[in-house]
Amino acid sequence: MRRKFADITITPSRFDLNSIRELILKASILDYKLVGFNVHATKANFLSIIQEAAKGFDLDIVSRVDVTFEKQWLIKKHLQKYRRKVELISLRGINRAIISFGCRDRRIDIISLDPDHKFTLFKGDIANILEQGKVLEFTARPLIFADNIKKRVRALQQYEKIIKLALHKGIKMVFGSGATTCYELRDAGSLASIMVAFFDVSYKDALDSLSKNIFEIVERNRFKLSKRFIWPGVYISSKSEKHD
Amino acid sequence: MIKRDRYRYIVFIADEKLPGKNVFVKQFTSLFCELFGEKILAFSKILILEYLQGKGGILKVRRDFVHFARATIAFYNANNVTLKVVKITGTYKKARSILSSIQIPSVKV
Repeated sequence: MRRKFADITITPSRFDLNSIRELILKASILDYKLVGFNVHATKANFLSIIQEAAKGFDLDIVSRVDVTFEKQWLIKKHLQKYRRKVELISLRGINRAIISFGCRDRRIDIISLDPDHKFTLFKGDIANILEQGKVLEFTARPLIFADNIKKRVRALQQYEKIIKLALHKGIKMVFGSGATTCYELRDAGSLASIMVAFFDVSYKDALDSLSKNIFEIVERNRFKLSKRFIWPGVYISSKSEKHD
Repeated sequence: MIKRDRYRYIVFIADEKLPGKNVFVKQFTSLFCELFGEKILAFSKILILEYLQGKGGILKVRRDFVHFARATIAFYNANNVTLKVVKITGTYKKARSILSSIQIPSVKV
């Protein structure tokens, strides 16, 4: 069966209907089946614009909110607000305390790596990530659109360190374009090739980070949001399911 | 016994108008060199076989270096022109037939 690709890292710079439509159109041209817009919690009212812009396209849209703030109490406040309202919640690792909190809190699904900030993962963080089935997220934008060679080198170094660790420990990764405009979107195969060429990741793992890993986390969260879900491990079985 | 080199042909298209062939070749090779160095550039034996200014082209590269070429295509970003890989083939004949049959979709809404 043919692989389905997804990009959940699109971070629009403008939230008008036309630019969102352009992004969705380009994503559908590039053969993506699922698209997620990374919207910061302070701009979450734009989620409705995204849903409206996606009408008429044969593309699955995931609602995603980024809850990155300097203060932990602000993150907790927004987590409380958006829990069970959006399909994905992500956090950018901007400092040690935030990374640690992001790995610990069960409400956060994705931990994004920001090459502008130092990113480290300790033993406890890795254990939390693996236990709770979180994913680490990387984007191609800091590599492709780096202002200067120094920034690109820094991003490559950061990514290499974390990807090596993730592969060694078996942490799932998510890769995407991180596009802000339609000109920054790239096809999934090329993004996978970036991972292979720069970080020595196998092509299968690279493709998984653009398809399988994303669909797994989205399906899991959609199931959690459905009426069938009661508690982790407890759910209402559908009529078609057989019982022993 | 030394195995003979095997090549792949990458068919790519552009969403906007590309620059002239000489400019494109210069831009592409310097980008490849900047990203992966002269050694990989030399060993990959990368070559632009066919180039249509308003459409795209065909890139010939050694099989072991396909990902390097593809990553460079993803990194190409001169004047807001983005390239998309349509197909990677094993023969030039197939690549040419694919390139000639492609219609470029518009991104404008």
